[in-house]
Amino acid sequence: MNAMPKPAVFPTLLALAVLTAAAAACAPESDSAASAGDAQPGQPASEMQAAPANAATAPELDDADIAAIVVAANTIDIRYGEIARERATNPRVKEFAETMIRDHTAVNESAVELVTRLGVKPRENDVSRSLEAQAAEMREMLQAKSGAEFDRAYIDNEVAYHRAVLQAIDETLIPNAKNAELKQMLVDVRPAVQAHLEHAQSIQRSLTAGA
Amino acid sequence: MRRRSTLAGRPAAPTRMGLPVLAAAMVLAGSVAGGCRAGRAGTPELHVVEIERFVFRPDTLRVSVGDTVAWLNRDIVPHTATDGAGAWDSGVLGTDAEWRLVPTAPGVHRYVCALHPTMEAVLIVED
Repeated sequence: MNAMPKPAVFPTLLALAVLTAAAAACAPESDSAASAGDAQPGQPASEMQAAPANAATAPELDDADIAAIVVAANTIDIRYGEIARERATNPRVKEFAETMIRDHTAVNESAVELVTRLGVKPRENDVSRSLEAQAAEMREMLQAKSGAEFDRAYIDNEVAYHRAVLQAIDETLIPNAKNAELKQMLVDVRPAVQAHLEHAQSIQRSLTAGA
Repeated sequence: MRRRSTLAGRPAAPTRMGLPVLAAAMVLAGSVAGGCRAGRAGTPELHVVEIERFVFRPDTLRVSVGDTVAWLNRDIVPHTATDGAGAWDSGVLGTDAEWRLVPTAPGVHRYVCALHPTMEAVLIVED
Protein backbone atom coordinates (compact mmCIF):
# COMPACT_ATOMS: atom_id res chain seq x y z
CA MET A 1 0.00 0.00 0.00
CA ASN A 2 2.58 2.53 -1.03
CA ALA A 3 0.64 4.24 -3.74
CA MET A 4 1.76 7.78 -4.20
CA PRO A 5 -1.05 10.18 -3.45
CA LYS A 6 -1.82 12.94 -5.88
CA PRO A 7 -0.55 16.38 -4.96
CA ALA A 8 -4.07 17.42 -4.07
CA VAL A 9 -4.00 14.94 -1.22
CA PHE A 10 -2.05 17.41 0.87
CA PRO A 11 -3.78 20.66 0.08
CA THR A 12 -3.38 22.13 3.54
CA LEU A 13 0.29 22.31 2.88
CA LEU A 14 -0.26 24.73 0.06
CA ALA A 15 -1.04 27.45 2.54
CA LEU A 16 1.88 26.53 4.70
CA ALA A 17 4.03 26.61 1.62
CA VAL A 18 3.05 30.24 1.18
CA LEU A 19 4.33 30.85 4.66
CA THR A 20 7.58 29.21 3.82
CA ALA A 21 8.06 30.75 0.44
CA ALA A 22 11.62 31.52 1.25
CA ALA A 23 12.31 27.82 1.26
CA ALA A 24 11.06 27.39 -2.27
CA ALA A 25 14.52 27.46 -3.69
CA CYS A 26 15.27 24.32 -1.76
CA ALA A 27 12.21 22.45 -2.94
CA PRO A 28 12.94 18.97 -4.25
CA GLU A 29 13.29 18.54 -7.97
CA SER A 30 11.83 15.08 -8.05
CA ASP A 31 9.48 12.83 -6.17
CA SER A 32 12.31 11.52 -4.10
CA ALA A 33 11.68 13.21 -0.80
CA ALA A 34 10.37 16.27 0.93
CA SER A 35 13.59 17.03 2.67
CA ALA A 36 16.96 15.44 2.78
CA GLY A 37 17.83 13.15 5.59
CA ASP A 38 14.45 11.99 6.77
CA ALA A 39 12.77 10.55 3.75
CA GLN A 40 10.82 7.43 4.50
CA PRO A 41 9.93 4.57 2.24
CA GLY A 42 6.51 5.12 0.87
CA GLN A 43 6.53 8.70 2.01
CA PRO A 44 4.26 10.88 -0.05
CA ALA A 45 6.34 12.91 -2.42
CA SER A 46 3.78 15.58 -2.96
CA GLU A 47 4.01 17.32 0.33
CA MET A 48 6.40 20.08 -0.58
CA GLN A 49 5.80 20.30 -4.28
CA ALA A 50 3.47 23.21 -3.88
CA ALA A 51 6.20 25.48 -2.63
CA PRO A 52 7.56 26.73 -5.95
CA ALA A 53 4.11 27.65 -7.22
CA ASN A 54 3.55 29.80 -4.15
CA ALA A 55 6.94 31.33 -3.93
CA ALA A 56 6.05 34.64 -5.49
CA THR A 57 5.05 36.54 -2.39
CA ALA A 58 5.62 35.86 1.25
CA PRO A 59 2.82 37.30 3.35
CA GLU A 60 3.46 40.08 5.78
CA LEU A 61 2.10 38.97 9.11
CA ASP A 62 1.50 40.86 12.30
CA ASP A 63 0.83 39.36 15.72
CA ALA A 64 -2.93 39.21 15.20
CA ASP A 65 -2.39 37.27 11.98
CA ILE A 66 0.09 34.95 13.65
CA ALA A 67 -2.30 34.30 16.53
CA ALA A 68 -5.02 33.28 14.08
CA ILE A 69 -2.63 31.04 12.16
CA VAL A 70 -1.50 29.32 15.37
CA VAL A 71 -5.06 28.66 16.46
CA ALA A 72 -6.04 27.48 12.97
CA ALA A 73 -3.03 25.16 12.67
CA ASN A 74 -3.74 23.54 16.03
CA THR A 75 -7.45 23.24 15.40
CA ILE A 76 -6.83 21.59 12.05
CA ASP A 77 -4.71 18.88 13.61
CA ILE A 78 -7.23 18.35 16.41
CA ARG A 79 -9.90 17.73 13.80
CA TYR A 80 -7.68 15.31 11.88
CA GLY A 81 -7.15 13.52 15.20
CA GLU A 82 -10.87 13.35 15.85
CA ILE A 83 -11.37 11.63 12.51
CA ALA A 84 -8.53 9.22 13.29
CA ARG A 85 -10.00 8.50 16.71
CA GLU A 86 -13.05 7.16 14.89
CA ARG A 87 -11.53 5.55 11.83
CA ALA A 88 -8.03 4.36 12.68
CA THR A 89 -7.52 0.65 13.21
CA ASN A 90 -3.85 0.41 14.15
CA PRO A 91 -3.44 0.89 17.94
CA ARG A 92 -0.36 3.09 17.55
CA VAL A 93 -2.20 5.30 15.11
CA LYS A 94 -5.14 5.59 17.48
CA GLU A 95 -2.86 6.49 20.39
CA PHE A 96 -1.05 9.03 18.26
CA ALA A 97 -4.36 10.63 17.34
CA GLU A 98 -5.30 10.92 21.02
CA THR A 99 -1.95 12.56 21.72
CA MET A 100 -2.48 15.04 18.89
CA ILE A 101 -5.91 15.97 20.23
CA ARG A 102 -4.57 16.34 23.76
CA ASP A 103 -1.43 18.30 22.88
CA HIS A 104 -2.87 20.63 20.30
CA THR A 105 -5.82 21.38 22.56
CA ALA A 106 -3.37 22.29 25.32
CA VAL A 107 -1.32 24.45 22.97
CA ASN A 108 -4.43 26.23 21.75
CA GLU A 109 -5.58 26.90 25.31
CA SER A 110 -2.18 28.28 26.15
CA ALA A 111 -2.09 30.41 23.01
CA VAL A 112 -5.57 31.82 23.52
CA GLU A 113 -4.78 32.59 27.15
CA LEU A 114 -1.63 34.41 26.11
CA VAL A 115 -3.07 36.51 23.31
CA THR A 116 -6.07 37.39 25.45
CA ARG A 117 -3.76 38.61 28.16
CA LEU A 118 -1.70 40.52 25.62
CA GLY A 119 -4.78 42.09 24.10
CA VAL A 120 -3.99 40.59 20.70
CA LYS A 121 -7.18 39.62 18.92
CA PRO A 122 -6.58 36.80 16.43
CA ARG A 123 -7.48 38.10 13.01
CA GLU A 124 -8.41 35.83 10.15
CA ASN A 125 -6.19 36.32 7.16
CA ASP A 126 -5.51 34.77 3.81
CA VAL A 127 -3.21 32.16 5.27
CA SER A 128 -5.50 31.07 8.10
CA ARG A 129 -8.50 30.99 5.76
CA SER A 130 -6.56 29.01 3.20
CA LEU A 131 -5.38 26.56 5.86
CA GLU A 132 -8.92 25.96 7.02
CA ALA A 133 -10.40 25.64 3.53
CA GLN A 134 -7.76 23.19 2.41
CA ALA A 135 -7.95 21.19 5.60
CA ALA A 136 -11.62 20.67 4.86
CA GLU A 137 -10.62 18.96 1.62
CA MET A 138 -8.17 16.78 3.49
CA ARG A 139 -10.80 15.81 6.02
CA GLU A 140 -13.10 14.81 3.18
CA MET A 141 -10.37 12.66 1.71
CA LEU A 142 -9.68 11.01 5.06
CA GLN A 143 -13.36 10.37 5.68
CA ALA A 144 -13.48 8.40 2.43
CA LYS A 145 -10.83 5.94 3.58
CA SER A 146 -10.91 3.08 6.03
CA GLY A 147 -8.76 0.35 7.56
CA ALA A 148 -5.07 0.23 6.79
CA GLU A 149 -5.53 2.67 3.93
CA PHE A 150 -6.87 5.26 6.36
CA ASP A 151 -4.07 4.65 8.86
CA ARG A 152 -1.49 5.21 6.19
CA ALA A 153 -3.14 8.31 4.76
CA TYR A 154 -3.59 9.88 8.19
CA ILE A 155 -0.01 9.25 9.28
CA ASP A 156 1.42 10.37 5.94
CA ASN A 157 -0.48 13.60 6.30
CA GLU A 158 0.63 14.03 9.91
CA VAL A 159 4.27 13.69 8.86
CA ALA A 160 3.85 16.18 6.05
CA TYR A 161 1.76 18.57 8.10
CA HIS A 162 4.08 18.71 11.09
CA ARG A 163 7.09 19.12 8.84
CA ALA A 164 5.44 22.04 7.08
CA VAL A 165 4.32 23.62 10.37
CA LEU A 166 7.84 23.30 11.72
CA GLN A 167 9.21 25.06 8.70
CA ALA A 168 6.60 27.80 9.00
CA ILE A 169 7.42 28.30 12.68
CA ASP A 170 11.12 28.59 11.97
CA GLU A 171 11.05 30.66 8.83
CA THR A 172 7.98 32.83 9.15
CA LEU A 173 6.10 32.82 12.44
CA ILE A 174 8.99 33.27 14.88
CA PRO A 175 10.81 35.82 12.71
CA ASN A 176 7.62 37.88 12.20
CA ALA A 177 6.30 37.80 15.77
CA LYS A 178 6.69 41.23 17.33
CA ASN A 179 5.60 40.66 20.90
CA ALA A 180 8.31 38.93 22.91
CA GLU A 181 5.90 36.65 24.77
CA LEU A 182 4.19 35.57 21.56
CA LYS A 183 7.58 34.87 20.03
CA GLN A 184 8.56 32.87 23.14
CA MET A 185 5.36 30.87 22.94
CA LEU A 186 6.26 29.89 19.37
CA VAL A 187 9.72 28.89 20.55
CA ASP A 188 8.14 26.82 23.32
CA VAL A 189 5.74 25.12 20.92
CA ARG A 190 8.46 24.12 18.48
CA PRO A 191 9.72 21.07 20.45
CA ALA A 192 6.18 19.72 20.55
CA VAL A 193 5.87 19.94 16.78
CA GLN A 194 9.31 18.36 16.36
CA ALA A 195 8.43 15.51 18.73
CA HIS A 196 5.12 14.95 16.96
CA LEU A 197 6.93 14.80 13.63
CA GLU A 198 9.41 12.20 14.91
CA HIS A 199 6.61 10.20 16.52
CA ALA A 200 4.62 10.21 13.29
CA GLN A 201 7.69 9.24 11.27
CA SER A 202 8.28 6.31 13.60
CA ILE A 203 4.73 5.07 13.06
CA GLN A 204 5.03 5.71 9.33
CA ARG A 205 8.10 3.45 9.22
CA SER A 206 6.30 0.70 11.11
CA LEU A 207 3.32 0.90 8.77
CA THR A 208 5.62 0.71 5.77
CA ALA A 209 7.46 -2.26 7.25
CA GLY A 210 4.18 -4.02 7.87
CA ALA A 211 2.72 -3.25 4.46
CA MET B 1 8.10 0.17 45.63
CA ARG B 2 6.16 2.87 47.32
CA ARG B 3 4.53 5.41 45.14
CA ARG B 4 3.48 8.77 46.29
CA SER B 5 1.58 11.10 44.10
CA THR B 6 1.45 14.72 45.05
CA LEU B 7 -0.30 15.99 42.01
CA ALA B 8 -1.16 19.57 42.57
CA GLY B 9 -4.59 20.41 41.28
CA ARG B 10 -4.74 23.19 38.74
CA PRO B 11 -6.12 25.77 41.17
CA ALA B 12 -3.47 25.06 43.74
CA ALA B 13 -0.68 24.46 41.30
CA PRO B 14 2.27 26.80 41.49
CA THR B 15 2.35 29.42 38.84
CA ARG B 16 4.93 29.39 36.12
CA MET B 17 6.56 32.40 37.71
CA GLY B 18 6.81 30.53 40.98
CA LEU B 19 8.17 27.32 39.60
CA PRO B 20 11.82 28.24 39.23
CA VAL B 21 11.83 29.51 42.77
CA LEU B 22 10.09 26.40 43.98
CA ALA B 23 12.42 24.14 42.06
CA ALA B 24 15.43 26.00 43.34
CA ALA B 25 14.12 25.80 46.88
CA MET B 26 13.55 22.07 46.53
CA VAL B 27 17.02 21.49 45.20
CA LEU B 28 18.46 23.69 47.88
CA ALA B 29 16.48 21.90 50.56
CA GLY B 30 17.70 18.56 49.29
CA SER B 31 21.22 19.80 49.10
CA VAL B 32 21.17 21.25 52.56
CA ALA B 33 19.55 18.18 53.97
CA GLY B 34 21.69 15.62 52.32
CA GLY B 35 24.91 17.17 51.14
CA CYS B 36 26.12 14.60 48.66
CA ARG B 37 24.03 11.59 47.83
CA ALA B 38 22.76 10.40 51.10
CA GLY B 39 22.64 6.64 50.82
CA ARG B 40 21.18 4.55 53.55
CA ALA B 41 23.16 6.17 56.30
CA GLY B 42 22.43 9.75 55.28
CA THR B 43 19.41 11.93 55.19
CA PRO B 44 17.19 11.25 52.20
CA GLU B 45 17.47 13.81 49.44
CA LEU B 46 14.92 15.41 47.21
CA HIS B 47 15.74 15.33 43.50
CA VAL B 48 13.79 17.26 40.92
CA VAL B 49 13.40 16.19 37.31
CA GLU B 50 11.99 19.01 35.26
CA ILE B 51 10.01 18.20 32.14
CA GLU B 52 10.35 21.03 29.71
CA ARG B 53 10.38 21.35 25.94
CA PHE B 54 9.87 17.63 25.57
CA VAL B 55 12.90 16.49 27.55
CA PHE B 56 13.50 15.21 31.07
CA ARG B 57 16.18 17.26 32.83
CA PRO B 58 18.41 15.69 33.91
CA ASP B 59 18.03 12.80 31.52
CA THR B 60 20.11 10.58 33.78
CA LEU B 61 19.67 10.81 37.53
CA ARG B 62 21.41 8.84 40.28
CA VAL B 63 19.64 8.64 43.59
CA SER B 64 19.82 6.50 46.70
CA VAL B 65 17.19 4.20 48.07
CA GLY B 66 14.90 6.28 50.25
CA ASP B 67 15.47 9.53 48.39
CA THR B 68 12.54 11.30 46.80
CA VAL B 69 12.37 12.01 43.09
CA ALA B 70 9.93 14.70 42.00
CA TRP B 71 8.93 15.09 38.37
CA LEU B 72 7.69 18.57 37.58
CA ASN B 73 5.96 19.25 34.28
CA ARG B 74 6.87 22.74 33.14
CA ASP B 75 5.78 22.10 29.58
CA ILE B 76 2.70 23.44 27.87
CA VAL B 77 1.35 19.97 27.13
CA PRO B 78 0.72 16.93 29.36
CA HIS B 79 3.41 14.33 29.94
CA THR B 80 4.04 11.21 32.02
CA ALA B 81 7.04 9.59 33.67
CA THR B 82 6.51 5.91 33.01
CA ASP B 83 8.90 3.12 33.90
CA GLY B 84 9.65 0.97 30.88
CA ALA B 85 9.39 -2.19 32.96
CA GLY B 86 6.05 -1.20 34.40
CA ALA B 87 7.24 -0.63 37.98
CA TRP B 88 5.74 2.84 38.24
CA ASP B 89 3.80 5.40 36.30
CA SER B 90 3.04 9.00 37.14
CA GLY B 91 -0.13 9.05 35.12
CA VAL B 92 -0.84 12.14 33.05
CA LEU B 93 0.78 15.27 34.46
CA GLY B 94 -0.72 18.50 33.25
CA THR B 95 1.16 21.76 33.11
CA ASP B 96 2.74 22.59 36.47
CA ALA B 97 1.74 19.25 37.98
CA GLU B 98 4.22 17.28 40.05
CA TRP B 99 4.56 13.60 40.94
CA ARG B 100 6.87 12.05 43.50
CA LEU B 101 8.42 8.66 43.85
CA VAL B 102 10.42 7.20 46.74
CA PRO B 103 12.40 4.23 45.43
CA THR B 104 12.79 1.45 47.97
CA ALA B 105 15.09 -0.88 46.02
CA PRO B 106 18.17 -0.40 43.90
CA GLY B 107 17.87 -0.72 40.15
CA VAL B 108 18.15 0.96 36.79
CA HIS B 109 14.89 2.33 35.45
CA ARG B 110 14.69 3.42 31.86
CA TYR B 111 11.58 5.48 31.57
CA VAL B 112 9.67 7.40 28.96
CA CYS B 113 6.79 9.74 28.52
CA ALA B 114 4.05 7.32 27.59
CA LEU B 115 2.42 10.02 25.48
CA HIS B 116 5.60 10.99 23.62
CA PRO B 117 7.87 8.00 23.10
CA THR B 118 10.70 10.16 21.81
CA MET B 119 11.19 11.34 25.41
CA GLU B 120 13.50 8.93 27.25
CA ALA B 121 15.50 9.12 30.46
CA VAL B 122 17.13 6.94 33.10
CA LEU B 123 16.72 6.78 36.87
CA ILE B 124 19.50 4.89 38.64
CA VAL B 125 18.71 3.87 42.21
CA GLU B 126 21.70 2.89 44.30
CA ASP B 127 21.89 1.16 47.63
